[in-house]
Amino acid sequence: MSCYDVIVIGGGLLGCFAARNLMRYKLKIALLERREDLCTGISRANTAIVYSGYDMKPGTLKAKMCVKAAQEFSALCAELGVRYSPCGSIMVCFGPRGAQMLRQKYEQGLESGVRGIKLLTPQEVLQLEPNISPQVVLGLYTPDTGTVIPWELGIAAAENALQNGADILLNTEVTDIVPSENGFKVHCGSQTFETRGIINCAGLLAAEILEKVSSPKVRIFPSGGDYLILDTKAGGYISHVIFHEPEHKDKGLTLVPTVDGNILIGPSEVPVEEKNFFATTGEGLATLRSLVAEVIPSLPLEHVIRSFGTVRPNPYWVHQDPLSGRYVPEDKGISSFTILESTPRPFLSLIGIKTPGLTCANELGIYVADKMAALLGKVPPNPAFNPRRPAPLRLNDLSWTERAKVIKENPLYGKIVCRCRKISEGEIIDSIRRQPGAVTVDGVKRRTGSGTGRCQGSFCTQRIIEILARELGCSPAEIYKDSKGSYLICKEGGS
Amino acid sequence: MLEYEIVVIGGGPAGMAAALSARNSGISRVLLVERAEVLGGILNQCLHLGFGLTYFGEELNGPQYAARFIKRIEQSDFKVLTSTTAISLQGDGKVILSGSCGLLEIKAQAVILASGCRERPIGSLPVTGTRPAGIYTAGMAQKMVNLGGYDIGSKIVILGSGDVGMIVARRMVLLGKEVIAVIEKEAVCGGLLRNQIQCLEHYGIPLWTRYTISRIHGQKRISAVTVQNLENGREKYIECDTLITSIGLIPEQELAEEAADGDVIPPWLFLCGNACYVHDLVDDVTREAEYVGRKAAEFVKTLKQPGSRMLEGDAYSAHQEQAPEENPEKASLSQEKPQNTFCIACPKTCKLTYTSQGWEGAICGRKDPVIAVR
Repeated sequence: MSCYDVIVIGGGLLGCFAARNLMRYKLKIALLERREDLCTGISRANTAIVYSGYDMKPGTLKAKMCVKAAQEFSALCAELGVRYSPCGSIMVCFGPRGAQMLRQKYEQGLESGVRGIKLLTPQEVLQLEPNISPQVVLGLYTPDTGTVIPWELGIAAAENALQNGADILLNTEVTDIVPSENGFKVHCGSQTFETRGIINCAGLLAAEILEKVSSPKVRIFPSGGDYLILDTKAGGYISHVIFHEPEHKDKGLTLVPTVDGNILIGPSEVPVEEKNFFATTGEGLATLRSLVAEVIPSLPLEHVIRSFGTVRPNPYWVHQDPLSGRYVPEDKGISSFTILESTPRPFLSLIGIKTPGLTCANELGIYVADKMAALLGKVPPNPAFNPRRPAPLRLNDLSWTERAKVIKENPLYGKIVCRCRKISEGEIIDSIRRQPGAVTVDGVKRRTGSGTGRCQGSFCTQRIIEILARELGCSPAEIYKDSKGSYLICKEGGS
Repeated sequence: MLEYEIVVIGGGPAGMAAALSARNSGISRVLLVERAEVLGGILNQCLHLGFGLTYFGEELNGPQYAARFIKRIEQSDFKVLTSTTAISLQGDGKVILSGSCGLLEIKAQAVILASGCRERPIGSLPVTGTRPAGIYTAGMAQKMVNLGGYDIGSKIVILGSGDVGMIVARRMVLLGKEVIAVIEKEAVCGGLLRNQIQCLEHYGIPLWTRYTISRIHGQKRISAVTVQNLENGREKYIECDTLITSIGLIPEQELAEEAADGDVIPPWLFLCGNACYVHDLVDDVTREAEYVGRKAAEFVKTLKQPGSRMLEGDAYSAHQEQAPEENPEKASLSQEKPQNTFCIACPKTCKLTYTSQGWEGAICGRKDPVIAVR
């Protein structure tokens, strides 16, 4: 039986950063993920924004963390070898209600210490973003907003944790947690691990994991949202993150000029059924289109190359209905970060961490790691901790001379596999051989960007399946799109 | 830096014909670049018949049609680079090629872009639901089945009645698979009548016109689609394990866009084949590409004789000329003067009308429009 000091449950963004920051201490750590890859839940479907922090109530943990994290985000990304676009944001509104909201957010931002925040006249908005509807009445600018690819960040944090000695165990689903003499026994099917402490970062399943050690006070009631992605051809239409504060609807529009040069539009707010997580809805997509017409009417929606759905993990305090046994949510839901500490053994849960969870992922990781170290008592720091993760080679970031040199050393970097994003076979092989490496087509996609271009993988998917099969020593029929069962090629004699 | 007179990007039917034609027009330094390991492009995955009827006067399959040009290229003496991708085309005529042999910078006097087209992804449609495995574009399915030898699914719905979709539908039936229906939003079939009859009707594959797919079901592999009648809005739930889309082809013009200054394509850049606009028949692609190859050759020759710019209207006479050695197997180019056609020199494909002043209507101001042969 393997013994650990701390087990982190869940390999999403928060789990990866919790594991990374635990390595700052002399601790034996394991990160358990039930799927075959990291960042496959909400971490792969969100708005990709680093918020500057004016949305949150000043003085709260959320506001403090967010403001600090946004100001340090470039440094974090440099440390982890992750691409970051500190593009700034402009919030726009088209009427008196929105203007009032913007002024309120401006005051909040000032109070929280958001750097460089300022209100913009319509002329100033249009000067910075000429494609915004001229009906705009007020803008709110902050320079510290940015955009990052969430899974790129999460995978980088996990690689960094691994590089510092953490164990990352994929395909390992927690089935039971039993208190033991020194902490907990964590059962994962036929495997059992002994650990002194647990950090629960199980995302949508966090309440269920918590339930295994204490009676639930909190439950996640998910809602859904839809997104659209525009081809890089439309990329030049905006240069900042655009937030829209609506007059009549509950939810405005967000437009993000992504690191890869696309525009991400969304999310809408729609109800979600459990069996249809991550599905898009007609209503949600139609709302996005009508909001685009209001906010940025000239945006060429004919360049849409993909739509996708997300799930928001809304946390609520609950009580159990004595008659039906069902959990009934209380009041309006929890707006603060929900970090629960269960006693008597060290068990921390991050539950329903929504916006700005991506922004604060590293800060939250530090927070829970420090707290866990305190709970375990007398944990010395790890002097060997290296916060720098060597970035993968990205040929598109190199000059022609550098690229020529790389190809000369390894000819596989000359063979282009994904023609839309110009991703080479060398980069794809690297994404598979890195630890923890890609084992699925979407795993390669998340690490290299292959298949995210305008053909959406129709030219390169077969090639990527074949490279994966060759590298992993299996048959192409054993390569999945995303998770077990999502087969792309049928096995002989039926699938 | 290497220098060539003409660089042809893309070794499919258009690129092969353009390169041969440029060489046969007296250009000695021609380079043909192909990203796959072999020449032929999409022809290689087209195992069906129907190629060459008007160009060769006989019916061939895709690889046979390609093989005739590959043979001519082998007999010719210009340079061919396979497994090599053009990753950049710059405004000064510099082409950057990436291949396992290295990164090559090439200065070209003229470039012919014959990069073909791509398939419109399903993500561009307002189809709702999940995004499971088991959704393929028709060309992708065709390549996986015909070249990869893979089994991609057995209970198939096809969205869009484009030609490739219908051809793949028939192929799947021939492989013993069930094709439940081809779903078409318009009132009539989207592809050629010939394919509707030969691929769908002869194989009993239903064509549902005025229908679309409104929702995709399934978490891991696709399990069903909701099909909607566009006349009355009624929906049907159809179980399937595979969805193949054939919802449109888009010319791959990104390299031309990179080289262009705004909307203006440089005079040394020529487009042909499906990179220019999507063709129904490969025979037409070949003929146009031969014409574009000659035009590019003329352009290179005029560069060598400063002061002797081609006169307006020359383009048409160039189009009428026919080098008999280009197609020893059959000469069939129509000699009729087209009244309306379009320029295929750049992605705009301006409509042109022949008047006493020559061809008019090119909005880019190009003095020597390159005329499509129709």
